[in-house]
Amino acid sequence: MIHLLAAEWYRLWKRKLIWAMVLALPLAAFASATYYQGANASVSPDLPQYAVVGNFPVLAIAEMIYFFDLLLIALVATIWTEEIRSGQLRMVLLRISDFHRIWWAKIGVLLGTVLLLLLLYLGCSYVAGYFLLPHTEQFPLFYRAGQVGVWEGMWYNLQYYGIAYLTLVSFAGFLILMGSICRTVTGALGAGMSFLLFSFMYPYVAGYFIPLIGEEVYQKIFFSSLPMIQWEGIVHLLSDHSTGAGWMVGILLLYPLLFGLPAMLLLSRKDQWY
Amino acid sequence: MDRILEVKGITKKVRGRYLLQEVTFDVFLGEICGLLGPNGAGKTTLIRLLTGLIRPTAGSIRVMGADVQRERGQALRQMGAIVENPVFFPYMSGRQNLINLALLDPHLTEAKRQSRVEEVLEVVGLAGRADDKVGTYSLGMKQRLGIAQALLGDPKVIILDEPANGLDPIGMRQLREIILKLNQEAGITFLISSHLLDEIQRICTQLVVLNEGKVVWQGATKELAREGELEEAFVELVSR
Ligand SMILES: Nc1ncnc2c1ncn2[C@@H]1O[C@H](COP(=O)(O)OP(=O)(O)O)[C@@H](O)[C@H]1O
Ligand SMILES: [Mg+2]
Repeated sequence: MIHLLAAEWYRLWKRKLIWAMVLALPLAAFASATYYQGANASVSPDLPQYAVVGNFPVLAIAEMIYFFDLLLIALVATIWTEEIRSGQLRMVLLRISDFHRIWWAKIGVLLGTVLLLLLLYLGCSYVAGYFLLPHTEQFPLFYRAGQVGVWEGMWYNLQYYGIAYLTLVSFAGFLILMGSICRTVTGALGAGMSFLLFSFMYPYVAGYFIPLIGEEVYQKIFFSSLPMIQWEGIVHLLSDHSTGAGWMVGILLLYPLLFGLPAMLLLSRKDQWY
Repeated sequence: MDRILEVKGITKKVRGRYLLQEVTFDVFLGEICGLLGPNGAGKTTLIRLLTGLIRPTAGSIRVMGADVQRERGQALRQMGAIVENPVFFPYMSGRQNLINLALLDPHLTEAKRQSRVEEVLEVVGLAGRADDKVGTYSLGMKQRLGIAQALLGDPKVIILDEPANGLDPIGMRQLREIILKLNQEAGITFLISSHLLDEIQRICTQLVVLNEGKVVWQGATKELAREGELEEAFVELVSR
């Protein structure tokens, strides 16, 4: 298994896409810090939206997380769909005795790489904040009373990135099924994007029906969407009175189970692979 | 006995259609065996089964005594193969592709991996182009790189799927020379599929002729040459 992981890792990091990401992340962090530098002028310093070194990583990932969603779509389309459908994987399959292993190796390498890139972005956003944003000893957090210091703030940031990572893992569960079903890379990319768009749209549509379905059901529908969890759910989970935590954790588990298991079963039909 | 490949009663049925029916033959040590048949005869399907990429509906395949289905790891260790086309990762160089595949062999240590990759590149004459991306290789070079990857694990038998397809005369001769050299000097057994009798006659000592999923003739290439009538029948059969 360790050999298979090594080979998958070796191959993924020979791709230009990954290195383009590694270069793009610091740039994005600095661009975002520059933006917040300007935005701070019109925000009161005692609001959590006011960017300082300590809270900038969370502000910086808020939109960037969608970029990670897109990266994930692209990665699954290349390391699943392209490798399987083009026959590139055949010479690898000729060397392993259990096809399930390649599956797990791919998942391991995919999630490991995404984690590494996310941590890289966290680091970059601290560096960018350090150079471009105010240094304060205390700063407020979203939906939390009082203020926190730099270390407590860092722990909060780590938790935030941790949950953001879990949402990406959850999304990967869906993508892997698409990546194995779709016959072309374009198809796999399309399926991933459509899912993302759909997940953005339906909570808005549900918004019109609040008088009919009630606020509580609406909240459940809203937080059944992965990008909505990424957008608003994470701060709710980390707030003083975290509401709907059980629901969101359930949703995050549901996606990999709902889509990952069929993908597994599909794989055990060995003739699918050659 | 020196039986390298043992194919017994292999049948493959997909969605009610027989792609292969009761295919039985053996390949012995040191032979270069040709698998001859027109397009769609089932050659690639048979090679997929031989390499354990798909499961047979009935029958069994043994590589040096190891069952491809039940002892896949052991069977694969004795065998190198190109199935369908030599498809590599185009964004990596020839050398990187080989290193990547060699990483999958648990018997190769770090140091041995490097030297083995250089050795096989040398054998197929690609050492000079090893740092170029495979995406820039000609078909002939990809076939040779395919043989190089098949050689990585020091196999007893190598299976090639229509290696001459699309090659120019020079590429064809280079390929033939490499195969003959490996057979004579390293004692490697070959199973080579083709839809052209001419080209396979030149190097193969044995022939298995496949048509519509069934073995229609098997024996030594010499016998075929003697029976002039039969030859004509095959030419007609495979050129249909
Ligand atoms: N996965 C599959 N499902 C259904 N039919 C297939 C499949 N793979 C190959 N075939 C059919 O099996 C026959 C033999 O194909 P193949 O083994 O590729 O022949 P050859 O390599 O001799 O040209 C062809 O008619 C082909 O259409
Ligand atoms: Mg074929």
